[in-house]
Amino acid sequence: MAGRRDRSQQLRGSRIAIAILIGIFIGCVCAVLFPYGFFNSSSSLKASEHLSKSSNQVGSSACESPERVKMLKSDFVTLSEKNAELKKQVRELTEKLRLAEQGSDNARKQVLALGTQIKAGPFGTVKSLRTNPTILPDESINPRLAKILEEIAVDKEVIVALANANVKAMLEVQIASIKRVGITNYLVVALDDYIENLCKENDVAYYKRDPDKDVDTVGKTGGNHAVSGLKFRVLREFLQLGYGVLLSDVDIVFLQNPFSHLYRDSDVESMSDGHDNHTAYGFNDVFDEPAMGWARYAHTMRIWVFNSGFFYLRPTIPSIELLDRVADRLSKAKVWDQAVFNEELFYPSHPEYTALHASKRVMDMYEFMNSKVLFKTVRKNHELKKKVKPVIVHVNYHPDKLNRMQAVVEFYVNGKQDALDSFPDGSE
Amino acid sequence: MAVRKEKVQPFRECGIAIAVLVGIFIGCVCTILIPNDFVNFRSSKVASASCESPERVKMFKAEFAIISEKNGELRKQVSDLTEKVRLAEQKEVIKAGPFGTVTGLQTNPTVAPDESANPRLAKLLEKVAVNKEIIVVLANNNVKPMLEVQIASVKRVGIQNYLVVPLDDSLESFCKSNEVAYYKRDPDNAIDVVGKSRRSSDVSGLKFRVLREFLQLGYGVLLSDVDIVFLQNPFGHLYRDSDVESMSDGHDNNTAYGFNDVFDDPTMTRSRTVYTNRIWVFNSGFFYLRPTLPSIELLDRVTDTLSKSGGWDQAVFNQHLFYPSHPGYTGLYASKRVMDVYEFMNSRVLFKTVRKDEEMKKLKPVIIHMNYHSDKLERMQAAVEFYVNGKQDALDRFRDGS
Repeated sequence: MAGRRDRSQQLRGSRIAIAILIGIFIGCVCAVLFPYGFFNSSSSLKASEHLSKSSNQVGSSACESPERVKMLKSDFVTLSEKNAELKKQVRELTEKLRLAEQGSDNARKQVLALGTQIKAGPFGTVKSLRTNPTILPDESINPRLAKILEEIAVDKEVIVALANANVKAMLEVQIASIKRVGITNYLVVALDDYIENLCKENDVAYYKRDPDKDVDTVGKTGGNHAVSGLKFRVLREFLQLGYGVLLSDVDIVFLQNPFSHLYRDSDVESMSDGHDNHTAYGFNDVFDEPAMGWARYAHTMRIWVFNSGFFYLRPTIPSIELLDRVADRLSKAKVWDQAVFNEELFYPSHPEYTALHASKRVMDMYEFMNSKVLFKTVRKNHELKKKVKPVIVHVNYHPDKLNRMQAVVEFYVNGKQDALDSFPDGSE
Repeated sequence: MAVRKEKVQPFRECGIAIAVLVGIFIGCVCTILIPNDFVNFRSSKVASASCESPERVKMFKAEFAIISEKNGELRKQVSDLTEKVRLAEQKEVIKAGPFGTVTGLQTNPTVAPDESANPRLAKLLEKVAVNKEIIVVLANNNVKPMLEVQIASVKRVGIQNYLVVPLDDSLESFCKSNEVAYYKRDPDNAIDVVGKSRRSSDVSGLKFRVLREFLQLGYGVLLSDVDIVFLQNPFGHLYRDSDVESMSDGHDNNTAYGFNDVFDDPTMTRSRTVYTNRIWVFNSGFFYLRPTLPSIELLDRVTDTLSKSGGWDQAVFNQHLFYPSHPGYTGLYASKRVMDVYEFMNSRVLFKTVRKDEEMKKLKPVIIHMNYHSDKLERMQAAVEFYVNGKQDALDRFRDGS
């Protein structure tokens, strides 16, 4: 009996343990099958869906971990921030592009022409590049001049006049007309101390060049043509600094602001020595050679010269090359600057010579009037006298310049109708 | 003993049931306390708080995708705009160097070939052209004898890239029988009527319309009138640095290349002499065009002017080449080069100057153009006699003019 009792006790303990384990197992199974509790019947359906969708991720797919959600949130925030940043960048670039295009109404053409190789469009749509791009300003070449120009220039443009004591009287008339018209971007390049002082006294912006033996000698004692030739060396720095320059001789009276009458679509805009539409803008001048019989009439292209005493240069590579070419030739031979200026502008390439190919525009001959047009044509015509209001008058055709300049002021500013009458067409 | 056995059996069954219930209870407790599994000890949050609903996660993902997409778009926009700004600012990319180093853009870029402009012509030019260059001649039956002399000279010199554009059927047959490459244009009423005309100036004006397609296809074109004798291959004597290279009607260095022609106006007394720029015209019967935009615009402008107001094509050609911009007119700015007057010789230079000078007679022209004389055929034949056959007196019987 005792033996039987011992066996019975051992068996009981073992059985109880097994039973407990079975219970735990059943509990785990229930936990897996019903994660949201026995009483939530709708959640059991969802659990089934999850099970069928991603049976391999039984535990994790049903419930996103806080870390993962946090990660999603931070990614979201990062992307949103980046989005805002990109939007800002787009706004900035759009503005930048707009400003760049505003800089020149030909900017779009430049973009097209300077970009990749393009196809030619159909008839009537092809426009080649006319407006050359401007250069990158280089302030290091002359910081002093750069500072002066920053103060006085308007829209990066300036009128420049070279003067020495010999032309003091005419310069005074010009300065008076400049002030009357209200032009603020006017600068005198003083070639001697006398003019420097004159500018100070008259509150005129001026620039005294650093000493240069060649320029200084010519500047002080040179005649009209020699002094005139200096401008091609002086103007280069203005262009390198990125400024558009309107060169003006001293024998010019300003009646309106010339900057409102420029096109700015060429490297060079200049007034002409011509006196009508043909001579100013170009014409077919037929040359007759009777000996040739059937072909006695040879056609030629002819145009009166650009006046190198009044022209506007855009700060482009061709403009600077023009100045360099003229300055180089003037330094080698004693020639007239206006003749050289025009040769470099107009002659095409030919054997042993490569042309400049700068783009050119002739200013309106009644707006930018030379003294031949005024005294030989306009003053004798009632309609022209009434209607034509010149921007400038250049007394280039007459040696008695001062008197005629004063008469121009009397006529166009003070309205004295007979102010021009006392002068002959030409000169005595 | 039997009674004792019965007592023991009911006790066992009851014990097992209790044990099972205890196990289940423990399992439930574990589920509540450790909802994310036994292995994960880190989590101590209550189930509902630590678990985002699938809907919310899905929403996050959707928004994430939308933002990503938008980001991609913005990135693309930024790169587009950056490129545009770069191009717009390219205009300021160059600094001017010191004195003597600045050289402007002189050689314009060529256009991208557009074979869709004329696939048939494109195919033909692929065969005939050399280095994408070709000589083009427009001819009708009225100039057949001169064309024969020209073709003979072209073959003698060994020029391969020569093409005739016949303006009537007779010329087409002539080209076939002489084994000369030709291109018969698709019928076009305006051109066909003019093409048959006896007036050489009318026919001459057609070339500006015909040549456009050649340039659009990317070929450099050397236009030749029929009154030209080839003595050398002209392509060995071109510079190709300008939009237009042309022979001149001038007769010396001044008239051909340009000079200062002083105009005298006595009424202006001290300022009676005024300087003018003057140059004899480019001859529109012999010129080379590079396939550039300015060249094509030149052709378009001349065609347009001729169709509106007529005029002589050579005069119009030169007006567009030489006149600068002025009020109401925007100039063309094609770059220009004049061919050497002794290499590309006009008949005035030959008969008035060269034939009378022993030294100059030794010159070997590339071409001779009988543009200054009406008896063209005879003079062309004489030029061949002189320069090819070496007959020294071949030119002597002609007068300076005609």
